[in-house]
Amino acid sequence: MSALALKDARMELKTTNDMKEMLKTAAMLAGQDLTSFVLASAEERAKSVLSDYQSLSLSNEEQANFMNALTSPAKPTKTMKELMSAENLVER
Amino acid sequence: MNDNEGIVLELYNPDKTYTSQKRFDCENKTINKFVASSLKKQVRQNLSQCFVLLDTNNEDRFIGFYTLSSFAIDVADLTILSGGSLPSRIPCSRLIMLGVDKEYKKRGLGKLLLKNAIQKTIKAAEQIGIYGLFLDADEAAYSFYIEHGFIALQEKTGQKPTPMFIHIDTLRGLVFK
Repeated sequence: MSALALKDARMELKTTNDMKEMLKTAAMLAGQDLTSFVLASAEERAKSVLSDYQSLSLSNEEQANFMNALTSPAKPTKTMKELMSAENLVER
Repeated sequence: MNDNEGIVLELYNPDKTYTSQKRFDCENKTINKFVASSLKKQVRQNLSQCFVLLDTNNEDRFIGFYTLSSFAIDVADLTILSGGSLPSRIPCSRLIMLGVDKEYKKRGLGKLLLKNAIQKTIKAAEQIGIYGLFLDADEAAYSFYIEHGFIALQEKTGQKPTPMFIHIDTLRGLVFK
């Protein structure tokens, strides 16, 4: 969100006095007003949730392990075989 | 194990009111809250598809569900090494949430929901490219998925959910062999 974006929406939040005091103190320490502080923190979290929802990023080593699993798929385990030969749920 | 008579699975319809959806309790707070207040919105926005388990002997009570969506695993760093034989994002289906009401536990219904999600994944893979099934296993479910042949994509650390994966060919082998 750019700083010049027109702010045409409003959010109201209910919270406890203690929580509000804590947020105010933290905002002050970060050199921000309460609104900017709360919104920036929520934006950061929102971006992370959205990106986690769509994809997973792995470290180099994890990517290499995953690649191995992709190129040589494992045989199904005994437990999985049992599950797949169990009766199906009835669908309607 | 046929005390599951009268229990049916159907595609969740966000415009329908399900008996006891708001009272659904699978003993996991996050999932209960999701079912009560977010499920409808999520499905309506096409963010995931949901299949719901109903007890026809009890006014079609909402007793279990799972949600499935598309997902991708980022392997951009390795694509360069593989010489372009694999895409930089590996498409998968993702089992987001699965739950069975506590009054219906110990009847194998959770497993049968997993089986159904696997079957849906195999079907989807016939239509669009899918390399496998992905899920985040919470600590309590981790060994359950290991036993079923899922592999951990990241090392299991403490109480954080572990990302897990099973190859589509492993799943297919089961069905056509």
